[in-house]
Formats: sequence, C-alpha cells, structure tokens
Amino acid sequence: MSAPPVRPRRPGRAFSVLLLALFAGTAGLFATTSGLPLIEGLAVALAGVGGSAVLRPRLDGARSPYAVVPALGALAVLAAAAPNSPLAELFGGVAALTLLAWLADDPRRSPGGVVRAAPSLLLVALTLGIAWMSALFLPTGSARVGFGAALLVLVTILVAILLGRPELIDREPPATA
Amino acid sequence: MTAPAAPPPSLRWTPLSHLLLATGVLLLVLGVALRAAVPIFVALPLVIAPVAAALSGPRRALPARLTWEAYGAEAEVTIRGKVQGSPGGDLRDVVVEFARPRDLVESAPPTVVRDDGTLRFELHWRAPYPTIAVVEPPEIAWLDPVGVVLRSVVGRGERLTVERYPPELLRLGAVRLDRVLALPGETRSRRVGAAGEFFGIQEAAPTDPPRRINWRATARRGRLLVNEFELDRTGDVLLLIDVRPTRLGADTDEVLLGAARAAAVGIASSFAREKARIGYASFGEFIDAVPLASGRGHRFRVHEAIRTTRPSAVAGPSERCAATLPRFFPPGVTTILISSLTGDADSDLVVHLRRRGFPTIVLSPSPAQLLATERPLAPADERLAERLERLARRQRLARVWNHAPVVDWEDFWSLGGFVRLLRGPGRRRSS
Repeated sequence: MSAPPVRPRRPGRAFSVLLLALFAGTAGLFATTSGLPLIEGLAVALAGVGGSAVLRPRLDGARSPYAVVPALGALAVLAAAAPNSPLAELFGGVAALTLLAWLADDPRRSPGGVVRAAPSLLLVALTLGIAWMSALFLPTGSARVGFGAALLVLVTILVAILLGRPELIDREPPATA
Repeated sequence: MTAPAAPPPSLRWTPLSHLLLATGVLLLVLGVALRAAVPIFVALPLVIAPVAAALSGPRRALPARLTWEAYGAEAEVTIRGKVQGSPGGDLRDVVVEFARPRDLVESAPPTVVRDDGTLRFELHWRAPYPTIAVVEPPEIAWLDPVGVVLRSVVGRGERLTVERYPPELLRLGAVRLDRVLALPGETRSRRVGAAGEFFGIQEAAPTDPPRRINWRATARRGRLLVNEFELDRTGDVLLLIDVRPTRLGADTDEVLLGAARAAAVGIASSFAREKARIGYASFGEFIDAVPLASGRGHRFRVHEAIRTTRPSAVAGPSERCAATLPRFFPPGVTTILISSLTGDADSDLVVHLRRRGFPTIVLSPSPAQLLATERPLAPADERLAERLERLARRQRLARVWNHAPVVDWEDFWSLGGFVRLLRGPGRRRSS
C-alpha cells in the first residue's frame, strides 16, 4: 500500500504584506531623519526594501540569504549619512529590528514565523531600548558615541567568541558523537 | 589509519547570520570612524540577533524519527516520507535537505507539509536510465524563524535504495538454468511448489489448477486436496560485468555501467527468488568475484557487490579474465556477460570465455542514444552519423554472434528480447 500523496497548504499572504509595509514604513521614517535629501533618502529606502522583497521569492537554496543584501545596503547608506540625533538613532535601530521581523516571515516556511521568533526579537528590542535610553540620557554627543561604541565592541567580541565556539551555548553534546 | 570524521556540531550558524554580523561590524567601524551613533544603533540588532536566536531556541538536539519509502515504476521515482518528533514536539521550524543521487534528476520541486508534530515530504525524481541509486538520509535540522541558527535533529533514519530496471526481468526466474554441481539431485530447494518430487498433500486453494488435484485423496476426504512438490533448485548463473574503460569516455561509460548494474540486480533478484545459485564478477584490470551460492545473505552480498561496482581506470587483457574466472566459478556455469562491446578487446572476452568452457550470453547496453545527445550536428548529419554508428555496431555484434548469442540493449526500459532469448530453446543450442 502506498503512502497518501502530500498536498501543501497555501499560507495567507496578508500578514506578509503587512510586515513588508511595516519594514518599508520604518525604513522610510529612517530615511526622513537621515542627512540625505528627502526624495533621495526615500528612494534609497524604497530600493533596499523593494530589492529584497523582489529577490526573496526568486533566490532558492544556498542563494536565499543574499536576498537581504539590498535592504542591508540601504540601511548602511542611510546610517552613514544620518546626523547624530535621538530620532535617527531610534528609527535606524527599529528599521533593523523590523528587517529581522520581516526575515522571520519567510513565505517558504511555516506560517507564524514572527510569533515563534518573538522571544529572540524581544531580546533584541530590549537591548536596543536599553542602549537608546542610555544614549539619550547621557549629557554630551561624544560621550554618547563613546559609550555606545564601547558597549558594542564588548558585544561584538562576545558574539565573535560565540560564533567561533557554538558549543558554549550548547547544553548537550550532539547525539551523533 | 585515518581518524574517524568528527561529527557535525549540534549548533551551527547559517550564511545569513554571517551576513548580518559582517554588516553589523562594518556599521560599527563606520560609527566609530565617523564619531556617529546612528550606524551603531543600526548595527546593534544585526549583531545581537544570531545570539538571541540561539539562546531563545531549543537548547539541545531535538529527537525525531524518519520513515520514508520509494514508489513509482520505471523512470518515475516518488519518495514519500515523514519526520516524527517527540510527543508534543513542534516541527514547524524543522527543515530537511535532500541529497539527490547523480543518477536521478528532479522532475518537480519537493513538497513539504507540516502537521501537528509531523513533517511529511514528497520528492519527485526521475531515472533517465535503469539505475541502482542509494539515497542518503536527508539532513534534518531546526532552523530558527529568522533563519540564522541551525540545530541538529537526532535520528536521521536509514538509507533508501531505489532500484529501477526493466520490468521484464521479473519474469526471468522461470528460466531453467543448467546446474554445474557433481550430484545435482542431492541439493534440494527448501521451497514447495507445483512441480518436482512429491512432497505431500494439502487443502486446495481457489487458484490451484485442476491438474494438481489429487482425486483419490479428494474422494477419501470428501473435500478438494492438491499435491505439493518439492522444487528442484533451478541451477546456477554467473553475472559478469565488463567495467573496462572504452573509447566512449568516462561519462558515457559511467551511464552504461549504471544501466548494467541495474540489469544485473534485476537478473540476480529474479533468479534468487527461484533459489538459483548466483555468482557475480566484475572485470576491469582484475576480477572482483562473489562465488556461487544461494540464500538471503548471499543475495544481499551480491547486491552490495553490484552496487559498489565502479568503472576501472585500467583495462586488463581479456585472457586474464577468462583464465582467472575458473578459480572462482566452475566451467560450464551459464554466464551472462554485460558489456557495451565498444572496447577494442571486448569481443575477445567472449571468445576466451567460450574457450575456457563458460557458455556465455551477452547483454550489450547500446550507447547509441547517449551518443546522439552528445553530438552537436545538423539533423541531416546526425541521421548519417547515427546510421554509420548503427552499421558499425551491427558489424561488431555480428562478430560476437559467431561465438555467443548477443542482445543489443537499445531501449533501456525494455529487456523483452533478452528474456525471450533466455527462455527459448535456442539458448542451449548456441551455448
């Protein structure tokens, strides 16, 4: 007796569109606070978001991670041009956060990815919030940058160590050992 | 002695995580260099996300069980299976990566469906030529929803063997093979059937023909009874594959050997069902042989030997094959030689085998359709080249026919001619 054929279910797309709109909105807000002229800033944000949205369904297998490159590029350009202001810092961080949320909603995977990714996204949001609040309430601009940079250097060193030695996060050796 | 390969780590970072981290570090450097805080704030979520995903996901390898099976006939290969997690386990973020064997091509994208605690998948592949392909278990891993961390899933399951050969070979077992034992009557099959020495009486089944009914016993008992017979073992057969390199090139040799392996497995399976003794040898530079025997264990041994047969880089002389063969197999055993007969010395092999007392039948996979796809010619030139190739091959086969019957295997999904040749009385005369 043969096994019954496998029939896939089509997930709803409304939530995906909503997330994309949210990402585009935050990137647009970030563009308005960046140092670029309004039209150019919005064009960069739109090109980044649109490029990633177009590329994601077209890149399969090993090439699929590269769909995020236009969005990352756009965020980097806007960030490099942005002046030091609390609003630009907040919108930049939130735009990166919504990019992660949009990545969690992959149409090729099970629906509800954002809900399942909520714990890790909340952790990122919490870190971002603490960093922004700390920077906001420090007196001078240069001290703010120095404090944030030192904090992030420490974080980056920690991430590099964890990337090199994933077993530090593991609680159990692989069963294939 | 080489050390065993290290097992893959339970936790791995995906290329996306490297991409996010690289961008984050770049923005961080930019922020410090420009004395600007905004790039640092944009970098923060990107560098934190992989670690946050690893910390918020499962902290140990997930248990799961893979069951899968291959379906389909001839060229069509459909593989259906499921991955079952632990009770209450969530497999929505479990991903499977399949390693498709070289002999099979994808005819449609795979279908993957996740139900409660179960991941079902269906693969649609196609075998362009008869093949014996081993499909390795898929890589199963938990991938966090953002797609930055992979964690292994325990319990990968068994390898799957896909056997595709012409269906006519299933009827091959009815062929009566010659025996090469000194006292063949002393070795009986353990199988009870419809012909041979009388074994006993049993209740008639609706499928039993009238000629098997024991009318006297039926009259005594008042119900239909039939005779049972102890089957004679059918005989002995040697499968010999010529794996020497030919002028066609390594790629074409590989495809032809794949078809030869599939045919050998089909022939061995059919005769093994009839309890025949089967021997197997492949000849490249030297001979690799599995001596004559029967039984389930031997069947597995022969299958493994056929499956692991690879093309040889060096061609040994035909005389060496014929001279070495009697060390493993008694002369007189029915020998099925599978050879493309495209090498210069291929036809000599048949002559040498006959001289050493091995009655040989040649099954020759034709390279015609493979060569036709390789030649970049205009249609008219292609027709001419095809015709010349056919004439040359016919002449080559005719030379071999002087010494042994030959089946030109052109349509890889049909071996009706070969089965008819083996079943017909002409085989004995020509051998």
